[in-house]
Amino acid sequence: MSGDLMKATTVAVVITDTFNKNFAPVCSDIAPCLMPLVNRPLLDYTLESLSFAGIQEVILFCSTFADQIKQHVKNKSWPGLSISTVISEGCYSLGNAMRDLDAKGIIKSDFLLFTGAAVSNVKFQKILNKHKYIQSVDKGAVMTLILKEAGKRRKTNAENVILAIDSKTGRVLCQDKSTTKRFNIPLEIVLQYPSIDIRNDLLDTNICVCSAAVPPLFSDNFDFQTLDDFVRGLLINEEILASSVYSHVLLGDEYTACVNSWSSYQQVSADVINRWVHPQVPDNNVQAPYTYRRNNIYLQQNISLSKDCKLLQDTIIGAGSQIGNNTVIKNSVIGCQCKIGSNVTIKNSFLFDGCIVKDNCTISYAVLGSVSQVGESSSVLDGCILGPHVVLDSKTCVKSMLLQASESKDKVGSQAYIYENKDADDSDSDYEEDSPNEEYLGLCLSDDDNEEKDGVAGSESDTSLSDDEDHHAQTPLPDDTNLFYSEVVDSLVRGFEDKLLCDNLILEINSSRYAYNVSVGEVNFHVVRALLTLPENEDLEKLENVQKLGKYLQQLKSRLIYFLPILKNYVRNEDAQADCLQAIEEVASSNELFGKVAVKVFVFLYEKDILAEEEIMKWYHNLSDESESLKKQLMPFIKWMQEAEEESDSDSE
Amino acid sequence: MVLLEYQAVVLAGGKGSRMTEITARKAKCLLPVGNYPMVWYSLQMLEHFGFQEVIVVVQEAVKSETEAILEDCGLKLRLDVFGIPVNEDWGTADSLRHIADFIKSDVLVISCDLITSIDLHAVLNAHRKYNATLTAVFFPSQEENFASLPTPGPKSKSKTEQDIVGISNSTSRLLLLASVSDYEEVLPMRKDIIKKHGRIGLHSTLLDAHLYIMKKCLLDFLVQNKSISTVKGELLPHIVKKQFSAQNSLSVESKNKDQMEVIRDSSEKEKESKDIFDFIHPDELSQKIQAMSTFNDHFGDSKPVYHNDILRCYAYIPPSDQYAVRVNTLSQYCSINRQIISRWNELTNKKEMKLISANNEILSTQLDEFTCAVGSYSKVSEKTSIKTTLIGSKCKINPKTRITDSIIMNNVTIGEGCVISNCVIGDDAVLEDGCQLKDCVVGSQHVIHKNAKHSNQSLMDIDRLMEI
Repeated sequence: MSGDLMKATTVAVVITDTFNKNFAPVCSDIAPCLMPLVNRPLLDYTLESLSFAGIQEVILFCSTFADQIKQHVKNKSWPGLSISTVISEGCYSLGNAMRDLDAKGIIKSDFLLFTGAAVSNVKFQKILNKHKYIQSVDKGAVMTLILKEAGKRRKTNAENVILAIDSKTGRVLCQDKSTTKRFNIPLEIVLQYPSIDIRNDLLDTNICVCSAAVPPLFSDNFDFQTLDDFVRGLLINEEILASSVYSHVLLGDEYTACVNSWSSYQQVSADVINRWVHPQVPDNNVQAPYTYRRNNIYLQQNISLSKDCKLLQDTIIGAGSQIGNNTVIKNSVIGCQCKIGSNVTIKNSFLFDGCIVKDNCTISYAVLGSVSQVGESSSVLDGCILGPHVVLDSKTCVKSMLLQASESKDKVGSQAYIYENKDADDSDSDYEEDSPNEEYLGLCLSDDDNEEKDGVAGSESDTSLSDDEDHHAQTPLPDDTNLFYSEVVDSLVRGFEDKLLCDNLILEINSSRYAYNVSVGEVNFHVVRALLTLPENEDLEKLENVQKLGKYLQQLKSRLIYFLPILKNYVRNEDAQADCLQAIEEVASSNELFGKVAVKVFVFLYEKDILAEEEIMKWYHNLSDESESLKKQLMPFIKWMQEAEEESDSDSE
Repeated sequence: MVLLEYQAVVLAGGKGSRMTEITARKAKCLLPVGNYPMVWYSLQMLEHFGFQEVIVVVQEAVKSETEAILEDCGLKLRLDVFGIPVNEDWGTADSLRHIADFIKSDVLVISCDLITSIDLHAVLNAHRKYNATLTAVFFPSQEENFASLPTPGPKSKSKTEQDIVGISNSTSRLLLLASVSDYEEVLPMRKDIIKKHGRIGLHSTLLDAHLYIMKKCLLDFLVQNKSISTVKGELLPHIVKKQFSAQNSLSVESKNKDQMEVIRDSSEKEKESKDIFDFIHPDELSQKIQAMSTFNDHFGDSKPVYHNDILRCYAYIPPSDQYAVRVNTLSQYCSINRQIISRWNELTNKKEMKLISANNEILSTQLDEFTCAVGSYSKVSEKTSIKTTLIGSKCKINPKTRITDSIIMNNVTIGEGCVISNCVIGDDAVLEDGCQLKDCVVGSQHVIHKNAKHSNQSLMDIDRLMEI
């Protein structure tokens, strides 16, 4: 057995794309994995980590910037690694990538799932062996998550996970990433395992050992998009999928981290500078070595430092950079060929290659993309991120902004515009969850003492679990619900175009519902809302007003008729009708065209027995003044209904 | 009198409600285990670990009997035996409340049905180390040990009560103590607690040894809160839960102190506070030590030692080579009696074993001296075969009788030609000639008639069973 293990080549699949826009606008023209971390492309760290770990075969899976990545890999030599590239354009999630790998039939054995932005000094071979051993004991074992003890450091919401692990085998039994106040473990599990570890001190490294069965599992479950979905799905449907997930906790001196947001970028940079990732430290870099000085200061060749400048600590400066008089630099990374003027203060910031910072500037907690420029006496503070080629004029002060060089609505400087996310509605990515706005550099140190106090206060009335629900009600709209809504829209658009069966669509919507854990009321609301707001055909824009309305109505009607089975399926009882009415009200207030034809929709739904008279009346009387126009429009319909009622009443007499 | 660091209390007032077959006429604490009353094992352990005085709480009815029996056992301890009324359904907390006036310091509480080889010093050290309010001992369930022979009496599905115990892996803090039956489908855990402790071990097979070390303040709290009746069922879960209360903080304590004193002056008599935090007042010395010491029980955050908690419960799990059993069911009672001779040395710390008393009349040649024990003034006639059996005192066993794997209590008469295997026979029972009993329990004073054959039965006078 062990002989076989030695002979088999070990394979790592490196997914180079992050499938999110966390690094915008810096990564507008460069692959995220080629972004420099401590003056070295992230992918170099990844490949060196793999080479160090004794991995022999690397499959680079690229979707965006594939050529760039290919070129980059070709230009350097990686001893001991045979690298092959798989390109799949239009792949927008890890799930897609795995499905693609499955379709191509590339994976035949266990493999290490890596991202293109991982830094590590772990010998993965022993974890692969452990995975093999677990598989020999538990045939259903498909994945070993690699976790690192992180103590009780503050975590972002995405990182914060509570795991229940069987202390004997390391099997993952439960996972909770939600923000509720309670962690619910099924009693069945508690009784089944004599001893369970409940852990909140672990950090997911986003690296895992997968069996060959993982890509097919992704194919079988089309709603698995991320690794998280996968683990959650496997845990929830343990009996159906008959697969289990195990965990491996790294020892103290083993380091693995994944750069997937600015906060992790900052964290990992600090770790590299502080030499936690040894042997991957700047002074070990063969191609462009650094000299290592006291206080963790790394300097490359041809640097001109003025006499009075102060490099305080944890700072690295790339080749050919110039630092002016009286300039203070602390906890920062300065790229190659940067020009820093006099009297500049740079703290906790990252300057990419070719940046120019003029005199008397202050830069703190900021990222300056390559070849960006900051004018005299300016300050860039608190989580500013400047894209490449941004030019900030002198005496500007920017705080907590994302700036890009290409034009957009809001202008800040001669060549600085506020970055706007082009496809903010494209919620397929995890964008909304890890919005850069939330995770400013270093700003994730939110003060959570209040939260703790809340929890403590809650203890007195330990039985009141309902405070969880209250908590939810206060938040504007949970991300999952948004994601769910966009999933529904996608399903419906596709369903309408491809004329799919409504039954199948219902199935699809239901599975999204479970994937995003949406309540029944929300499902009803969002399905109706999605039905009514499906994007119109483009030719509509060209038409004149009256014609346009007619055409719109026609389209809407045909859609409603087509989707009638879906409506019938969801709008079943009075509560659901109330949700449905709510949705109509919302759409009417937000969509001008729809507002004009709303009454027709009412008539249609009334005729098709989807909305009952009583419910419409109840809702109508509670209608707020804000929806005056809707009220006016509905007046005749309501009147007609009332008359009809009276008629029928008199009939019965 | 010098104030002792710990006083010891043995709670022996239990009625043995889980094994009524044999406790109908005999107090649980006096049931013989290897020819010593059960309560003796706790007492000799306390003696071994250096206690000189022990308070024993028994039922009033058997107080004098207990005192007399224990006198014969040769303990050097000074025993204070207290009686509790029989007819009132007193729980363990009630018993503690009953003797609270005599407790002047922190207290070690043991249930009489615990038979263990645990290193008590280690438990006390754990308690001292963390300056704990309460330390409870848990041991892994050892059910697999007594599966070899069936339990005498009618077959029944014994449903053991299972606890869920949550213990912090790094600090041994006891964070959750609940019965499985408290929950239906899910076990909700507060996330802020998980976050605070980072890593919590959840155990479903640990058994509570009913060995607790408590601060004096817990007893004060008990005295004020008369509604709490049991230690395990009510006091412990309450205290464990209270650890997470907002009041459980050193800073809150000192802040409120001034206010509290004002209140106390104004309404000293009126105030009958019921909250545990009104009883916990960390003394000045330990507060100062805590402030100046660099010791911290956790790492990973910058919170002070113990997170400033003043109420702290800890769990102690003995190393796996130490044996512990709670003798509160018939099957466990039989099990410990089968094991007692082989485990004698570890359980009694190598006390001299008097298996066969001097004042016997043993005429049998087939009495296995290594697996049997015989009490004083018993007579075992010739032509009998006795194996792995405990025989009490003043018993009479007539010829041509075979006995295996059984427990025979005091003053039992067994007739000629009987065959007895895997039975428990109560005090003063009479088995007439030619009885054949297999896997049976015979109640005290019961008479089994000539040539009767029984198996898997509880044999006792019905009215006696009804008494319970």
